[in-house]
Amino acid sequence: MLFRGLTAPRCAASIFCGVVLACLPTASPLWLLAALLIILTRTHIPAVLLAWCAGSLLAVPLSACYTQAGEAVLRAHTAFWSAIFQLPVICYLELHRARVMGSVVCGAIAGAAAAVASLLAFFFWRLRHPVRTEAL
Amino acid sequence: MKIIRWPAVAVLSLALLIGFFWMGHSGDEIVRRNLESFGSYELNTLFKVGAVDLSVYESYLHVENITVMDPGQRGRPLFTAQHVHLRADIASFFERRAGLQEAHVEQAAARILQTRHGRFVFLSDTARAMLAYEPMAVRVRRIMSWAAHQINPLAIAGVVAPHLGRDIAAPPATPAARSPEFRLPAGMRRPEFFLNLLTISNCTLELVPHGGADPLPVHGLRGYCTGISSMPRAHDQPVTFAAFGYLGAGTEAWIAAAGEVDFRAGVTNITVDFAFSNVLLRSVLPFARVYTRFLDNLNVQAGTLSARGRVALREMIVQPSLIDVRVDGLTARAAGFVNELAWLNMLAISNTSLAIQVPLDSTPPYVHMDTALKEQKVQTQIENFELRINVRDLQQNFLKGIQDLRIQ
Repeated sequence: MLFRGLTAPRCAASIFCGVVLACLPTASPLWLLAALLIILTRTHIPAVLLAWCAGSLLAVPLSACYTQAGEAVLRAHTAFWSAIFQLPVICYLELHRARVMGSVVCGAIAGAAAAVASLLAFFFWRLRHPVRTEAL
Repeated sequence: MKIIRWPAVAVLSLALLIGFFWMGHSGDEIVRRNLESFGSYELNTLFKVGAVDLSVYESYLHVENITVMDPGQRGRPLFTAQHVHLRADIASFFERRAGLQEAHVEQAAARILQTRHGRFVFLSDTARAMLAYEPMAVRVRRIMSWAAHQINPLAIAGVVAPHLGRDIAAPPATPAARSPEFRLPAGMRRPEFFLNLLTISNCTLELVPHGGADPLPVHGLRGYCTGISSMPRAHDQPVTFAAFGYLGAGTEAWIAAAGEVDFRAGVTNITVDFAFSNVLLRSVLPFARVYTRFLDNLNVQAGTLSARGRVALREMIVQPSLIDVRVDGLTARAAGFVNELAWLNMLAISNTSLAIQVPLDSTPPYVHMDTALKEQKVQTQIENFELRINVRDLQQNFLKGIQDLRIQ
């Protein structure tokens, strides 16, 4: 019942969103924006919640890398990021902080990996359980 | 458009609409209470607000009857304003800045006190002594924190233990060095607060001279100021201003000033054009008493002062200019001068006019009255001149002072 209407791309997108949400600092402006986007877009909410729970476990070891990853990204293109972070609305997201930027980067990588894994799992499951079409 | 969850969008939009509607109709009282508590806390004195009219849609806030009480004198207001109208700059909100398109202050009144050193301040010495520069709540919290630390058994053990001889040999535990989180510095510095246009109308400043003399009101003040910001050096426009008002109650004396203050590009350029006319000398003399006793000894009975000129500073260096000063209807009887100026004690003038072009430049004392006299840029019309000479003084070379000053 809970996973009715769940297609492979939708499942992958929902898992990606759930994992990213789990990695972001809770209740931060960036987290609220992500949550709002998840609600407003047609993601699969139970899948998102499931991915969030799994992502929260994944975030425990990942959080040690946030600062280093964020610092590396920010230092790579300082002028570019400075210009970006002064844009309206984006300036509220506190992405100039290495830890926040790192959580986005690590969350996006982990979420993308989880989404790809879910797509592959879906693909192989479909290989074993092909859809039977009615003979015309 | 199948990726959008339209019911959620509709619910969110409805919630926003209800929020706007609620703020427009029921938020005034909440804003008023918050404004009062915030103002009282920040100023550490009683801050009262009459009516508040807030419009989120039109992004303005209208406040009536603002009163800031003087912490030094109970019951006396430090600042009052009948109407204050603020219009916000919504675009700056999205840039995480507080911006106001315009602010209008009407029928405001404030008292400015002259200190014994000649400075003009809003708060009296008594009020400044009473005012805790740290708000009460913060002070209480700090004292409580200090007291809690003093009676904390763990902290006491930490202090006492080394003296018991157990941990003396052990190296002191140093906290693990923790590097601060890296934060990308802001690229382009922008002021966090700015006000594009401030206008005032029908305002009053009550100038109180040091020593308890009668205050001098500057009333009917109106004018504008543009380009106010919390970071003038990083703002995109200079500060410009113009003001006009009347000096003294029931007089025709007026003052006007206009100018530009430019802090941009790391330089400080200031230009001020000013003029005042028919200012009663007796009303401004109490203010001059702090700086010099010379004018007191002149015993000015009547007279008006007018002046106009330009003061320009380029990179904080005064640029040469001329100030036109005119004194009309001067009536004075000198007394109390000593030493070389003793001869002035014999001087009494009435209904005298004096016009001087005083040079202004970058060499101290900046205003060169002596140069004006040397260059004979003085026009005077003396009537009823009286020089009282005591014949007994003739043998004592009483004109020595006059001869030394080479007055002819």
